[in-house]
Amino acid sequence: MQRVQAGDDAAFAALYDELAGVVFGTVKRVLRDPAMSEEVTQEVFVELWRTAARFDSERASVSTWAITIARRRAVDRVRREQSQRDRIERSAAQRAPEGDSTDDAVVASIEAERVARALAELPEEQRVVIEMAFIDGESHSDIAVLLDLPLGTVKGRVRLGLKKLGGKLGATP
Amino acid sequence: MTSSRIDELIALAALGELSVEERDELDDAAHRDQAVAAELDEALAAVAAIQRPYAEEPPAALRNSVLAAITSTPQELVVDGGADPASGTPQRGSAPVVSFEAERARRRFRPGLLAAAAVALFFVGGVALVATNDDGSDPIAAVIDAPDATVRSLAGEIDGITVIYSASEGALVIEGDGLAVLDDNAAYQLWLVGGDGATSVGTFRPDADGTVAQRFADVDPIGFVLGVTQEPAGGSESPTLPILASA
Repeated sequence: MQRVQAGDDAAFAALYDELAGVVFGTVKRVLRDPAMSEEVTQEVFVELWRTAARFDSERASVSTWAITIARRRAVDRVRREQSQRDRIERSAAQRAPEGDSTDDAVVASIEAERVARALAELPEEQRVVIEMAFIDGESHSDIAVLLDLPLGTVKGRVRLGLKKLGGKLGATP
Repeated sequence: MTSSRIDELIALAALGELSVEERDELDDAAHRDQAVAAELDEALAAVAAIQRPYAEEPPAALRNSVLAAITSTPQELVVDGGADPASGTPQRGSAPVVSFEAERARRRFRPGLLAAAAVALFFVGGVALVATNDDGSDPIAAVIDAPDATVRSLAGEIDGITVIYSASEGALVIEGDGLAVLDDNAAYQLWLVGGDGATSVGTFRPDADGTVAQRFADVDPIGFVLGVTQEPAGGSESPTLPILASA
């Protein structure tokens, strides 16, 4: 990352190879549209390049930093391009069913199992909200509508769930 | 700030749904209280951990597209303050500027397309002689007194530089006092820095008292970072670090 911060193109290419999957996956979870996800993924990497000097390894891993930017960029795109109603309609129609092939493959990974175990230990009401937010890629306002909950309740459950997960998952590099 | 408000902001940060104002609010709280910063970091790390297993490789063509895009994208430096590294959000008041050094090495800066001083400042025996418009009016005052004039104060290693811009005049004025007096072989150079690189506005030199007032025409700094560097007397095609002041 230090080489990227110094403007090294080759180092950035290596960083792209390392992070492209998690960035694209994060963006696509939110946007679902592959073409739009490609556009936003490119925006994320350009932002990573442009703001590389802001990265502080003492505060976060590179992948955490990239995923944070990816999520924010994807949400910004949703806000710009889709009405909330359209978003909810598409969400209901396109949410991946339980046990689809992609998720089966993911769950086979060690990290996925670790995440799944940590999520399973959460109270049901928090687990559902966390999964909808970060696996299904829903916004908190969409979750509120889909679960018929006040916005504040959704945010509260997200926060509580992440607090409980933090100790178990936060140390992931 | 209450703990419930901090919890709400951290939840929104994790969701990627902070507004600009909320982001500022959380950054302020995180910079004041390391415990808040640690909670934010932990929440974002947990989110990243949840999402990592769902990685999905993008189409191969995207790689070339991304790598091509960065060739025309200058990198930023954080002049002061820094940023919230987890959210990638600059701290309020920080002044990001382009990493001229990296870009210069890449030789991708555009030449000084906008450098056009409509009114030159001549120095004769340390006295500044300001040319006038054809109608005898003061072209510098025309910008400063324009109804649409906007002011930016530059900050950095050198203070005391202000840029006044008037869209109706299509010109900006750089004013400063207390500046270091340069020898004959050096000059300050003003740059517009944007996504496409750095463009020279022109060079300027303070008088023997460290004062400068100079107008540059046919220039629009809206949407650009303004940066000042010290260069050889005739100016440079690309900026030379350090960046002495920016805004």
